[in-house]
Amino acid sequence: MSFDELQLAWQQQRAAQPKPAFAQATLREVRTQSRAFTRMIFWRDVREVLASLVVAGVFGNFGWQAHQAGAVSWPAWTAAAAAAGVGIYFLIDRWIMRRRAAPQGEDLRTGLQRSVEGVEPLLIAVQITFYGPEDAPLWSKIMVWAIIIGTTGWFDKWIWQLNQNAVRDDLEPRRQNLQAQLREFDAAS
Amino acid sequence: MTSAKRDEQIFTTWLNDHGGILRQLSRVHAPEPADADELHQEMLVQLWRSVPRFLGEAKASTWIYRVCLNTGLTWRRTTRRRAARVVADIESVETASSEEQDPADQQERGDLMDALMQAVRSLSPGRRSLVVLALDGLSYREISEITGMTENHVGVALSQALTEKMEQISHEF
Repeated sequence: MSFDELQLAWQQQRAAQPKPAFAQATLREVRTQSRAFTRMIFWRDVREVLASLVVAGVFGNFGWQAHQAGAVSWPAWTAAAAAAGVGIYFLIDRWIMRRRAAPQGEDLRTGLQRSVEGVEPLLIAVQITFYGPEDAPLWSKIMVWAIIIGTTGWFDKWIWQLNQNAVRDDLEPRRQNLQAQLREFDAAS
Repeated sequence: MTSAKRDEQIFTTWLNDHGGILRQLSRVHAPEPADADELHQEMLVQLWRSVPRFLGEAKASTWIYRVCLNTGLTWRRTTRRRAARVVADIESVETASSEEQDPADQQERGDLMDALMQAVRSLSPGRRSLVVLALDGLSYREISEITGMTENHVGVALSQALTEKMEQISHEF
């Protein structure tokens, strides 16, 4: 069988794909889903920013109380500043992403490049707040945990673990996958 | 015409004229039917969101391929399925009439399509996109516009992909 015949079979198959019986009804559903998606992103952002501000407030309060009592207050101030920084980062990032998120109709190479550029700032943000390299020696990890737990409690250890998981299971594989795809287009061009 | 009306008109025209592209691309990128269904809906939503940016500078089909292939390349399977499956429900199965075909022919065609789909899926995502576009009958120039690769390299990469997988199918059928 020649490529032309394969092509013909493929195109016949495509022509036989189910088509929307009611384009208007499909449009209504797609609009509903699009709005639901926008709402979901909005409330997720609100949740993340609020969580950061609440954490900043809690640690700010600890810092203030420690300061008033004449105790060591810098760990709480640092934790408050870090949480507030994450919140501010989210606000700026979402503002940028909202402008860039809508499909631009660009070619695949440019689209992949844009996706990589979307993942990298997130990865950097996580890696500069409560994160340690996976391949670090165990003794250094224990030291870091001891410092984190000893100064700001289990809550930050929990955040640290969340960040480790996000980088290991989500962000880094995604970046590598996108970069591999991008290399494929680059290697051929 | 208001811009909302214009967007609706463009989108419904795209659905009527090129709806099959979306279905086929979602099947190429997501082998499991439930995943393909989810990806198809994602493509529909992304296509709808892209309409305001469509200024008519590119051909509609080029635009649709770009948006849908980009969605397919960057799509990740979600572990939690969306409850709504309405888009799938309101689709009718307007398939080409197959009643007049010989069952043996149908079986052979089905086997061929299965083998072809499997071969396409086994390619790396970049090559998969190239082969799908070639199978859809697009010229090197059109493929180059969609992928961002030069025409020469579309030719080289396609030839490698076809040698790798398609010749095997050609010999089998």
